[in-house]
Amino acid sequence: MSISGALSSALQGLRAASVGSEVVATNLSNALTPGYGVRALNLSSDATSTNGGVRIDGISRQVNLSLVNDKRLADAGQAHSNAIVDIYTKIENLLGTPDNPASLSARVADLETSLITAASRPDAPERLAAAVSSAKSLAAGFGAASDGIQAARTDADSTIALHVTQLNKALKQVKALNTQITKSQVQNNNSTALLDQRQRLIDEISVIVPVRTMARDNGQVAIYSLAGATLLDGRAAEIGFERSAIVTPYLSKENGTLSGLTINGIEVRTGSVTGALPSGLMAAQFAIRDEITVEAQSELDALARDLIERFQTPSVDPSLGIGEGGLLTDDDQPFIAANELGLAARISVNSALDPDRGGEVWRLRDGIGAVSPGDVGDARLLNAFSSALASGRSAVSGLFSGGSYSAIALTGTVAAHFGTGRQDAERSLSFNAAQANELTERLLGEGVDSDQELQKLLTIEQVFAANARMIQAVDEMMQTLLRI
Amino acid sequence: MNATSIGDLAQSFLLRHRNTALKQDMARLTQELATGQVADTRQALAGNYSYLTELERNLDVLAGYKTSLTEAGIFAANTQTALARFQDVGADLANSLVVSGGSTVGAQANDIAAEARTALSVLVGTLNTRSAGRALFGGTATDRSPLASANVLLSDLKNAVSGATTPDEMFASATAWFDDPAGFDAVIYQGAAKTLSPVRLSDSESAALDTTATEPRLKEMLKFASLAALADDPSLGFDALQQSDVFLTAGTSLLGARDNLTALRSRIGFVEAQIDRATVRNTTELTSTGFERDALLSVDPYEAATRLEEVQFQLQSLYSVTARMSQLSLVNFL
Repeated sequence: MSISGALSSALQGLRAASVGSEVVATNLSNALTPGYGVRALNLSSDATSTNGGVRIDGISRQVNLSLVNDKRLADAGQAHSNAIVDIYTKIENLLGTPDNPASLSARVADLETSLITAASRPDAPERLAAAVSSAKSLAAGFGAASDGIQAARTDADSTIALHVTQLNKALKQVKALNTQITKSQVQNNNSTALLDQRQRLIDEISVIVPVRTMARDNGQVAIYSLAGATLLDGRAAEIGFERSAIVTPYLSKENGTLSGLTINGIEVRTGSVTGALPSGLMAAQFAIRDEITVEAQSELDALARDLIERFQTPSVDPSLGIGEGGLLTDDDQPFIAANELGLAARISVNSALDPDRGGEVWRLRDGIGAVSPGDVGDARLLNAFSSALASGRSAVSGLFSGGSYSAIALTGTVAAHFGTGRQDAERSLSFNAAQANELTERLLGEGVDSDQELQKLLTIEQVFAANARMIQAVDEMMQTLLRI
Repeated sequence: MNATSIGDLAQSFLLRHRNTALKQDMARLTQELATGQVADTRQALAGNYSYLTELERNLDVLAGYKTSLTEAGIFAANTQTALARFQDVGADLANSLVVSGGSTVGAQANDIAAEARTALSVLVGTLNTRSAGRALFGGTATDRSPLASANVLLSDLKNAVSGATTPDEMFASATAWFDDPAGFDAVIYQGAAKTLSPVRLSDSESAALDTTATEPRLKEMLKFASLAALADDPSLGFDALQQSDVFLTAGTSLLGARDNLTALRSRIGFVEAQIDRATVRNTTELTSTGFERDALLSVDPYEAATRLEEVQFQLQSLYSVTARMSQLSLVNFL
């Protein structure tokens, strides 16, 4: 009978309205949740019944996938640039800006000044001691900078290990979610909350290693890195990395003492130019560990070498034999070209000069190799040391080899090189940040609009009231029939 | 972009973002206004540190040269004073030798010789002067007196001229002894053979203060003064006529030596002037480098204050907009 048809349609309508209000409630409660896909109720007219009525097709999740993908890549780019800016800022701090009295260039200027005042009164032991102490402070500055750089390298290495653990865990979780989603979709259950969770997990993965996703059957998803490596397709890949407890200048990826990255046991190239990781946090950490800090260390070593070689020659200090250590030494040994790696950590003042190590300060005036003090008023060697620092000399190694620089000019140029590096990194950070901000804003714009939800709620209330009235009317009609 | 709805979070994200940016700007501008210097020096230098490094280094090194110049100035002034005294004592002795040496009265010969001996010890003492603990005329051996005492000089010279029978022979052998590297230079001169290395006045200039007690013009005066002191020595056995001969020759030669000393003194004077000029240049350079360094990192206070006002206004507008927009929700009307 059509009255029962009307009743059943009204009941279906009621049910649709209640599910609608449930959807509105879910949306409103998740208005502040980032990464939440707005739920929508899908209704269609019921084709299976002869009485009409409404059929709830399901609750769908509305998300703009291309926007999500773009935002993932932009976030990865921003994280990458951020890490690069941080390391350059750190290196700049270690070398010191020129207005900082603890910077390397200020220490070199301090040495020059103390040699000048010592040459003015070579008979004053306190002036000679002050000059030796300036030289020691310069060597200490190099040591501190080198230690800082290697500490940054060790940090990068342990951060990579952390990211790899996170990545492996997240991939396994996505795989588990894939299975659950398929199960619930096959059973026609609501899988939207699981989809939210999976999207968030893939967002996290993408900050570390930018990824592309491909839809697979039954709601599953496959994840590929931007360069095409399979991270998850049915099975989760196993990312491998060996952490080093401490990183020193002598360890590097090239000589095999630092670990690279493996996916399922296969080596992956990690260089910033030719590698398989174009962006993201992990790529930044590899760039830091294998390229940026290595360059910083080698520039510091080249600078230390230039300073040592200025003094390690009999033409400056006649009391030295060929190949004997001069004013500055490689850990109290004469410097040999083959030992340049890590020199910045080992540069030190010759122990023959250092009163703390059994030396005498008058050797600064009379020669490193002098056996006994000479004439106290002799400023020749002190002047020669001053000229050695101030004269233009062609550095043998490093980025600035070939040009003629005084000691202070070379120090300033090396520091400026890293200052410029930081400028470049900051420029690319501001670009990436602007892009990420723009995409975030647009994606958030796709989120819950509480005004719209409330408008829907008004309509749902009306529909619920109408359907309830319908049921009441049908009931009255049936009562009328039964009273017959 | 969805045509029917805009998420709530989008607007609040934008407002929060702007709020943070404006607050950062305000903090930076407040610091710049308070200190007068750019807050982020690295941005201002745009990674190019070479210029600032050079300025800072010049400031340090110029301060070092200032000390060096002051000390060199004192050294040169004391050298000049010592040479002036040397010259005056020598001139006085020359006058009294010429005046009273010409008389043939024998009883006065002892007095004149005694006067010469006194003058000689003053001359030697002058050459042994120290300035701030450094011997002026000893070369690089600034810790010891350059000349032995006048008595040692006289006794060694006496040995050197012992065989002379006439004043001319005495003068000849004395000259030989003073010029001989194994004579005066080896025995009486106790300073170093190396002269003081040129004093550095700036990165490009140096001044030579290299007068030692072995300077021939100084030795001349010492020679004639000591010869006048030895004239009455019994071992030589000169008679009164020969003694007055010695006095007269010594006196006139001393006058000549005094004139030679003027040339030496003018050379020291030139060095003094050089040091003065370098001091003035150094002070000027110090001041102007300081100004340049400040100019590189300074901020115009008017501009900073204006921009701070702007940012404050923007922040206030943002606050009122945020407050108003939070009222605009359908919830308030249901």
